[in-house]
Amino acid sequence: METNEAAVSAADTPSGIQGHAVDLPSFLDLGYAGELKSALQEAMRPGGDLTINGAAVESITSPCIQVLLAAEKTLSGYGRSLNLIEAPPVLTSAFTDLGLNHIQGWSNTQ
Amino acid sequence: MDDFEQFKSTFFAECSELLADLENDLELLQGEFYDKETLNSIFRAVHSIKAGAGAFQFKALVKFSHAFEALLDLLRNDEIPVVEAVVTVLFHASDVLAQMIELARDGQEPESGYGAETLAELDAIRFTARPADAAASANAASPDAALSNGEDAPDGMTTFLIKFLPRAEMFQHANEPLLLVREMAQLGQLSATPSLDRLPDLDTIDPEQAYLSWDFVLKAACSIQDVEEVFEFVVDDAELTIEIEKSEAPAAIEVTEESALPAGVESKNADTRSGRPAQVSSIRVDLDRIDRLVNMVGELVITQSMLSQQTNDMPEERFVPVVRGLEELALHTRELQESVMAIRMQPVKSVFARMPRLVRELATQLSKKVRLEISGENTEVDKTVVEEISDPITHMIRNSLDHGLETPEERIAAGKPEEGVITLSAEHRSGRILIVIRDDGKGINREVVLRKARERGIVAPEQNLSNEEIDNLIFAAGFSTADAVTDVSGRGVGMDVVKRNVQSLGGRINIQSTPGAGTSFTMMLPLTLAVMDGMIVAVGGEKYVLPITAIVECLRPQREALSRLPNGLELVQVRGEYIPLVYLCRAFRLNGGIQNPSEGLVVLVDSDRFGRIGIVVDELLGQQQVVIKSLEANYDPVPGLSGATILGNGRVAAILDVEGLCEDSGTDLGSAASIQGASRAHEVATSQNETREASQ
Repeated sequence: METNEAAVSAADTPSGIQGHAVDLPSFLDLGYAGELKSALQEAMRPGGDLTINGAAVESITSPCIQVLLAAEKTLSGYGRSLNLIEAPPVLTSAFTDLGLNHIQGWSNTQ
Repeated sequence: MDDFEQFKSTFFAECSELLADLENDLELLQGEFYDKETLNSIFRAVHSIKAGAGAFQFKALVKFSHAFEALLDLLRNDEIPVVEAVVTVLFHASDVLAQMIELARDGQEPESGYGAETLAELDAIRFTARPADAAASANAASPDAALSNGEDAPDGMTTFLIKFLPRAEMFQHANEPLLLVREMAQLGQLSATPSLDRLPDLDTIDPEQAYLSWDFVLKAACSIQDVEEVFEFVVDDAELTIEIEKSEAPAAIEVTEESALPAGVESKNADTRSGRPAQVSSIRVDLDRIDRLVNMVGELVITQSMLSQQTNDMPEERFVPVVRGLEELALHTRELQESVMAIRMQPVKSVFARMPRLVRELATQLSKKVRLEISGENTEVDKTVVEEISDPITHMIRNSLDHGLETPEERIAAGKPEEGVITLSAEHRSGRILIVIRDDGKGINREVVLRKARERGIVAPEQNLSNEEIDNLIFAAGFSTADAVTDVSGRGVGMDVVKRNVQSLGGRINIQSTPGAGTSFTMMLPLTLAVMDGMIVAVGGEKYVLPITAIVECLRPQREALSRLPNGLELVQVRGEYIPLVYLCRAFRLNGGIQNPSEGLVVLVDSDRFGRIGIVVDELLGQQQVVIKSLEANYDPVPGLSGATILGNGRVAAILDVEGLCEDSGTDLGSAASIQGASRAHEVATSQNETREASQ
């Protein structure tokens, strides 16, 4: 059954550092922002880089964009990085339309 | 449905309302009684559609509504006079807009070039008044231009510097910066510089609060009002400054509630324009939820009725609190039911608003001069009924225009004003809605109607009909007096369908015509299709519900009033009229039903196809409001029954469908004409018998 929940799993990040991966769900709206925060916190707890798979994303709004930015800010404070794999246009355009070109840096770390 | 789809669905629902308002206001522009507010209202409708379309990336819709809105802006600022030619273009634009919205709703893109002609008309009028706009428009970025990263703008454009600092609670008011940015990008080239200074780390972020802010640079061939309008619904949720970069620019404009108002908009509209969230007086509720609520209240009414019946025999003096409690329950249940039904009530305005246009277009097509006068458009009726009355009203107005009203020459020759009048009115009467369509035309030409009816075999050659019966022939299936089939009428599939639709809604339709003075159609409909006033009748130990609206009278005939035709058809004579009888017990094969009408009762009902019919029942048990349950949804269709209800004793009672009952009664009732013919033949025979007896 299709769910709108982020899946957190152990993964080898592109940088080679053992970290965790978060599979983003289809719809990242205000109602989901709290859950996304929890999922990211859980994925970041073990240490290492964080990999986010955005393949399933069909729509995203500002609250979830902010949470992703906050996660990156937190990670970079510890010298860790956020890596984005499989970013569909709907995800990248949401960031770039808001002038948030960070997403290109996340993807470039692949 | 996710939030985005939900917003989209709400947008389309709002578009329907806005288009109806737009149509209504455009009609006002045609008369002499429009004011500044009418133009403002039209502007607001188009602007709201544009804003929503921008948010959902319906680019063709945005482009078209932008041009539409630009012309409206000049009209409301008196830069262009409101003349007939302009109003005609506005009507065309309204059509294109409606079609584009429909396509967007269906997930389709308009064909390339769709609406281009109307777009050119809009621009032509606008550029005549403002030649400078033409040059600016030629240079302007296409409204569907992609977001840019701030390359140099073409010459002639204005550069806007926008500071946008959302307040923390902005998301909670359903405002989304992404949609604003995308709407702004429709205006021109946009460069966005976000600030993440306020963004906390992941552990301390409140996901429902807004932390980002932006500096935008917008290069566009638009006015500062256009930019302000992008933000009009968030001015209370953000700190916003919009400046024009040019040296001659006015001082920075702090977008406050007042300055957000475009010129000409009166302050009474300030709440709408500024998007101030206070004073919410209505909410949108999904119709399914209301239907569930109505159903549950229906169940509650049935349960209350059962409780009431089962405690009828309870000694009141011994159970005073229980009896009082049940009385209060009955009262509250009734009030609850009325309140819930009121939720579904809507004004008939949405249907009436479409008619001026229909009249105008048909009048042009038929070269007639007509004025439509509407009253009672705020009369409320259940939503399901509102949806069903549009076709009957349209048909009747078409009929009045095509057949009723004369040409200007004919009217002048008849000593009437050149311009004909069609009146459309609605009012509540006796718990029902009364809709009247009246014209001051030539009335029904009964001679022609009767001749055509005889030619088509609808009326037997020897049959004599009263004026009323002749008038009612226009409701007969396949009847038409039009010599040629036109787009307006002449196919003979209009008025019979009207009558059938009205009757399927539990309503009635009457026609009154005066030669030379005009015709009026009177439609009487129930206010709701969820409950019904019914007469409970008993037959062979079973109970049935007859719709009160179908009942003419009830009587117990004398034995002498009953007679039988050679084909077995039984008749009852009522005040000289012979009426066929249908036995309910035979129709439903019930044992024990009274077989002699003079021992039971005859309920006279009006049937469309069979005329007046007498239904033989054992007894009448009383009138009651019943909750209608669909047989189709809960069981299977049953001939002769239109639905079912649950009575106070918890038993299901069938609701009779008079028309279907006559068809399936097993009695050869034949057509209305043959019944009438048979009745008249019997009447003549009886009269001859009486004469013979008297002479003997």
